[in-house]
Amino acid sequence: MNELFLTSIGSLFTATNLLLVLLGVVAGIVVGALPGLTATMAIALLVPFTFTMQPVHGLILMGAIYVASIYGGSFSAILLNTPGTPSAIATTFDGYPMAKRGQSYQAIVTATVASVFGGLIGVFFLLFLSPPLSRLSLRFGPPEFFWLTTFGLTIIATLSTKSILKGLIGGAFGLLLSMIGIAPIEGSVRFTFGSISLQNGIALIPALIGFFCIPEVIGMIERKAEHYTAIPYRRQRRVLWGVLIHIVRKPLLMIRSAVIGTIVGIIPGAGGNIAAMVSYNEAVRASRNPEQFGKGSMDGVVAAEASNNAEVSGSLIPLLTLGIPGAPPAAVLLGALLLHGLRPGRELFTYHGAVTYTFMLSLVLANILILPVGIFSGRWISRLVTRLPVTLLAPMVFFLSVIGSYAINRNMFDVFVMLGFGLIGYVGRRMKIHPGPIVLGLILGSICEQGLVQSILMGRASGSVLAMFFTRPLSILLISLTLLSAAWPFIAGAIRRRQAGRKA
Amino acid sequence: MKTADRVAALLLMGICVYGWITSRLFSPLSALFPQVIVLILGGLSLLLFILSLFRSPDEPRFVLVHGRVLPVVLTVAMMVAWVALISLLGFLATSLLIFSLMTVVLERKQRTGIQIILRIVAVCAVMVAFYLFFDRLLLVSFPRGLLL
Amino acid sequence: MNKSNPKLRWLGVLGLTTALLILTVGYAAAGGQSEGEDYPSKPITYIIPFNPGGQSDITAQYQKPGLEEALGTSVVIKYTPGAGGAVGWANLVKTKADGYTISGNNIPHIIIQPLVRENAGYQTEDLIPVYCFQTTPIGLAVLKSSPYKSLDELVAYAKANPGAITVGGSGTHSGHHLALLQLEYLTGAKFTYIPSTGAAPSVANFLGGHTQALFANSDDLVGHRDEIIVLAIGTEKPFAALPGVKTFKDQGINMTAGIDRGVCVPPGTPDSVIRTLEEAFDQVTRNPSFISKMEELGFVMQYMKSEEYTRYIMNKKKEMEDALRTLGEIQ
Repeated sequence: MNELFLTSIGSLFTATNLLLVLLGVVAGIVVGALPGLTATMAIALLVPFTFTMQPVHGLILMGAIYVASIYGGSFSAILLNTPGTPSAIATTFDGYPMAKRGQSYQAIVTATVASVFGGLIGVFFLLFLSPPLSRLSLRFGPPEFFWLTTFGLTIIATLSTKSILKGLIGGAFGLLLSMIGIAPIEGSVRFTFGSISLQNGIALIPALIGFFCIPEVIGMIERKAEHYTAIPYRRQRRVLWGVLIHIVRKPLLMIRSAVIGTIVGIIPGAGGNIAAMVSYNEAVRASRNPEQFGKGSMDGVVAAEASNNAEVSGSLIPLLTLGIPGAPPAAVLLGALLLHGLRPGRELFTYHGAVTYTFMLSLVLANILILPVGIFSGRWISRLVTRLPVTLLAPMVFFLSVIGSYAINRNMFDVFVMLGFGLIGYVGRRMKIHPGPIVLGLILGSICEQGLVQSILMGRASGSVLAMFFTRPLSILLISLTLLSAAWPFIAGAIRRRQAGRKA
Repeated sequence: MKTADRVAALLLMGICVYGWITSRLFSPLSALFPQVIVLILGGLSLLLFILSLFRSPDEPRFVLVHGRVLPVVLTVAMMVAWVALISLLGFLATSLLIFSLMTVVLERKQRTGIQIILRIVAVCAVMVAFYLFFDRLLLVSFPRGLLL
Repeated sequence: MNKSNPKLRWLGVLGLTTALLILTVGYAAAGGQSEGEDYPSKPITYIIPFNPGGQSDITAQYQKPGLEEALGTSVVIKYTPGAGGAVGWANLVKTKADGYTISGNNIPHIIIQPLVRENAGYQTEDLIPVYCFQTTPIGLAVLKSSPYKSLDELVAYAKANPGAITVGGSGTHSGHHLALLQLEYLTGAKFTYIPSTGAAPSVANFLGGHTQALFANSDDLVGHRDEIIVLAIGTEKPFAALPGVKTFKDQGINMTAGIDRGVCVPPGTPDSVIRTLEEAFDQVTRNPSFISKMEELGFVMQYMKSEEYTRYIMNKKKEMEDALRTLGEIQ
């Protein structure tokens, strides 16, 4: 392994490879920043072009785009409250409030540095710990997926700013929305009102754009009389230095977020969106001042962005070792690998080892390059967006939303979905129902249902459904996490009251 | 806010009833999850409704639109029109048309005619650029109607 | 600044809008098509009704260069995933039948979906088959650590303990599900089917030991052959990529299992167009390097042109209708 490693480092530093990484990073950031364009799409569009390239070149390019687009999603998340990719949902929670306070550039720099560090930690796991981690990924069966999603749903408590009841209602509504379409087991057609397009269910991206972006666009028009620009801009000095110090002072935050990201990545089917939200949740729970989250806390942005970049490498672990993609973009990469005759498994690390190791090392480079490219483009973009008057920005954003919602499935229906949820989200926002829980329910719903029903089937086959759910070691761990996370608001409140009492 | 809560709760309970009734027709395993969620959502909505019957001192007011209503209503109407007309007139044409209208409506009071026209031209150029980027480079092929 | 300006402004806006409209109309007209030219005279859209990265996608990517050469125009691959392919096929039947939109089609999907779903959005007969170029055989596998080392052992245990053996596969009413139903029908054994949404999750479930057996596509079986025992493969004759594995038929179970892939066009497409497409696909499919790539990936080649393909589908439909009715899956 060592020899291969060293030779791969050498083969990475050729002019072509370096250029490809740079190109991939730039293209990836553009793709990620535009709402509606996702990493999955970008890689899928690229696959036919890589056909004529050497395998290693194609992989390097796609890898760089993957890494950079997950990062790029933070741009529109911060500036427009619209996750540019689903992985950036959690970035909106604190990134956008930061922008509203005039700290958009600082937020972008925070996201950049966090992504770089998180991504590098993730690649470290990919390079050195793939075999045991891929075995861990296989331990996740239907019961574990079910408990994982219940754990995910407890995040709702963190996301509901005022009323947990309304947060739960939002989450349940999201779960209900996720059931529209064809049932995963036994295939009944559910809640489609006779529409063929609905048989496919509610597409995530149009729903995201609708819930997060449209209320902001309408809000911009509302505030037009008071503010000339949609988002204020305050000049800041020595931002990068300040961010670096802040992050270095809280190493646990960074490491924990990256570890969470990697682990969620190795779980097949769980992608960056879940990774970022779980990491965000854990950051809130571990923090000494949890109330700062949601109002523009740098820690929130760090937690979200570090984990979603780590998730990229995490999703590649089961992909390269087992041929099982850890997330949708990885599934497209699988197709690309097979296209070039690179079969995942031991062969990939031995016979094709040179290509594989060069590819993995290129991810290190891609993550590092995000820093200069991201900061440079971030400064330019944040200045541009914050200088635009509302009356120009709002329609432009809406225009992009329409394009984004359409581009996913080339289906006008999705645009209507986007608009519909936009209006619902707007009313919901006024009623203090945050879109976070709804979107969480929408994302987790199908995974939860499949886990539930598959486990019931397995339980019936093995004799005891209850045993299937409650006696497996990994499940027990997840159940404990779920209970802890659900009870946390009450525990934390009690601890704080006791501390306040002691102080008095 | 309490009235809004009540309305929302009733709406949600209605959705739950609909969901329950339709889920009867599904096969057993397809109906399980919907029925569980519908029960949970129904229960939560009921709770919301009950809580909304009690007055609370520091209750925030429910304001649908902050500030002037007309610009917001017009903007939303144009958004809806935009989406609806795309299939009829084609993506690019509709976008350019509605956007020009939107700008005029929003900027009528503050900017002079020349400034409005300049703005429209500038952003239309950006729109066309994005359109070409998506349509030609990324091969997304937008719907074409009577026009483009 | 008061009276003249509003008028001027509105005039300006009106004029500008008109100018824009004229521009766009002109652009549209310039990009318009001249009728009556030879087919194909503009790019062809090749719709894959599944997600990128899957088997249909990989195959299409390999076909693309050869197709472009054979047809003399560019081929654009478009993905319209959803509902197991139904969204794409439902869209296809509404598309203009001028030969510039073709779509991949999969057996048994296009047969079963209209049978079991009240409104699949299309009927099997609506999709006009053009060419069938491959079959992915489906096989039954267990882990090397499984207590059942042969098909007989597995079936015997299942007969003695109905429902105790969990078998994974991709999708409800899919090729995998159908294969299991056929197996149950022909042996009288009862299994519990654990469907996943996709081949990769079902393989992951199986490798992790969460299901005891798996119906999988041949390329997945070949890819993991070091860790699994393939009990049977659903081809007519023994399968080259899996030497030593007996077919179902060789073991006394009269069934074949596989997913056939081809292309189809919307109803009403002119015969001449179908002929041209047929020839192009035939050329591509018979190309030696294409064949070797496909076989490397675990596919079995087919060379069925439109008429033969249509008959094949109709026969399969009758077969499946009977089987499903007997098994009680449909009325």
